[in-house]
Amino acid sequence: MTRTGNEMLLSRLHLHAVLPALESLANLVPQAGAAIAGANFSLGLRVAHGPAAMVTATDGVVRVEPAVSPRGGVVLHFFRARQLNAIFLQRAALPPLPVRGWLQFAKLRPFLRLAKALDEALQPTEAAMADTEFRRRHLLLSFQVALRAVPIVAREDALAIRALKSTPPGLLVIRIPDVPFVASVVWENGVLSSALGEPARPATTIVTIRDADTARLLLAAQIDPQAALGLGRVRVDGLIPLADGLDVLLHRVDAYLGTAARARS
Amino acid sequence: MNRPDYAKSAALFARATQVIPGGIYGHTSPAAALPGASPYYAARAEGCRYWDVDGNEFLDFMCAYGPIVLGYNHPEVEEAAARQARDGNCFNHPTALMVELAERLVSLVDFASWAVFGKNGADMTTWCTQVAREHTGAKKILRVAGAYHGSHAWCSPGHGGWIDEDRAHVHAFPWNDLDAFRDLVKKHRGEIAAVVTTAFHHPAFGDSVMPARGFLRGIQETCRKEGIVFILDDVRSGFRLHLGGSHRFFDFEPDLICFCKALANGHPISAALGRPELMAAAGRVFLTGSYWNSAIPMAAALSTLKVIERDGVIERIGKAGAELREGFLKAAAKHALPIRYTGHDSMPFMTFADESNFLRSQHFCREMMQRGVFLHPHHNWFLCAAHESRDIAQALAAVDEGMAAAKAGV
Repeated sequence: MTRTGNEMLLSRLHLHAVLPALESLANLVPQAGAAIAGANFSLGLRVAHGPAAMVTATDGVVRVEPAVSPRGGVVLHFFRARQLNAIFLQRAALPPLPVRGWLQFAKLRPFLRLAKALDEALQPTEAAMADTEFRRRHLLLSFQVALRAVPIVAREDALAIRALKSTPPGLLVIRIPDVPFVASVVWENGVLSSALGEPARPATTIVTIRDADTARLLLAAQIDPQAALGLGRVRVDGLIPLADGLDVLLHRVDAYLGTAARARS
Repeated sequence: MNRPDYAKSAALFARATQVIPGGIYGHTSPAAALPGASPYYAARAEGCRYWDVDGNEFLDFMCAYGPIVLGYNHPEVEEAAARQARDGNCFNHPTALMVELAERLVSLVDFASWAVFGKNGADMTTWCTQVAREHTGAKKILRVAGAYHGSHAWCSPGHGGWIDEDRAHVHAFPWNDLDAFRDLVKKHRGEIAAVVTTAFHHPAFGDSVMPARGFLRGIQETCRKEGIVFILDDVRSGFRLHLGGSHRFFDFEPDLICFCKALANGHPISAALGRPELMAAAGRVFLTGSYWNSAIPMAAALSTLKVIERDGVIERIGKAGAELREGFLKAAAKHALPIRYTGHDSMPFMTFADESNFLRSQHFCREMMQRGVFLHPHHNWFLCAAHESRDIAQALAAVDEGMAAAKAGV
């Protein structure tokens, strides 16, 4: 395995971290909400011997499940993880094999518009980022993706697993007061999980990111976390080694999703 | 309370982030301590006090993270260094000082018959593992989990910059767990070159722990029986517990010992000493660095050792440390804030008994900084010979207020 060449892991990140961002996209982005108003479709994506996901839209509500349901909708089969990743990265690839729902292809037009809106929100142009509200939405969606991605790299990426071996257990809460945004990551009993919102119990480590701009730079690995701490753009209270461990995980997420996305542009 | 202003520190740091990775890296990185609540850059120091670039004065209990054992800018040591500086520092050859310093150290360390020199602790700990491998022909190194032995790939606490192969033959066991150590020896019998430990456990982000009765002696006995080289990393505690090495304080005997920090009162030099039977292997392991023969630190080391011995510095530091400990315990009792005060009195550490994440300690240390007393919330502290009773009293007055604030604030 190369540092970023784990196609199967990348496909899991695409299906279980990026794709679920569709759920909140319709609420955050008006065009996305309009795109699926009244739409009804189910689309399953599955990789041979790998991950799967099913996107379902019903009356303007999108759900993304981490498995393909046994009945209904369109199901696309990817023979290789690389084939699925190419679709997400807009690279040339063999089309997937439709294994179910041939006659329902026309129903997927709203999904295509939704996917385009997600791509624009996660991989924005500089012009789009000039808009304050767009930046806020971009940040929220990016953090949602990152939060879903860290448990995946914690399980499957060798460098993340190695870092966690020397990371003390605990509950870490991340706050960006001016967005506002709150999420937590729990590393306990050898399992890492994450969730949006305030945790129910006191945190072991509290990471406060001063503003949305700093958060965006951190997620994009465009500011050194140590420098950000010294500059007062980030504050860490409590057990610092837990934050150090999470920093490695976010770096690994960026090594997969960020590097792959940047490579396409 | 002076509520220090750190504007110049902050401005320098902002410049630094443009040209230095992380702004400040390593153990002095603001990220490792209390960013925004402590100075980032020092300007000058004297005795047990230093002044930052903003002119704030601090009564210091970190002593440059250990090197300052006599006090900053000690006149006798600085005079010795200045005298040598007039003759020169870096030459085509070592100076006579190298021989003199080796003889001096060998005379102090009971089991050793030879000495070599480097610049930093990690120069020596890493080189000692190489000597052990050369001597034994074995490859594995045993170490205590969580102990710090430097920033080299085999032992760096950082997550980046090393590959699994760097540590393929490095195995860890818990401090004070002699059974776990013996199990590792049994599992890798015949493959182990060395075990490296500190004299007592002083990890960052953790309480210090003294050796359990028989732990270090047990390691020594197993090493002798199995032909394993026992390396004592005395980089942090050397010359604070015992002039002849910290093994003398805890009554055991390693095969190699590494010194650094307190050796020259802040001048850059480290040393390793070893048993006669390891001298041949030591001679076969290449050892050098551009400045490793520099004369000024050797002059400073000879002067430092002289003052430590002549002035009973270790006992004086221990006495000041005991005053500090007693004062902390009294303050904790007064404020009904149970504490864990751990480590040797010359390099103690304190955390609050009701915390597991340093949150109250961080608050307390912020309060102490505001009162001009530099204490670290995550790393053991250091005392030096310049800490007089009046300094301890000043610190304890701040401790009283700091504990009240820490109790109210968390």
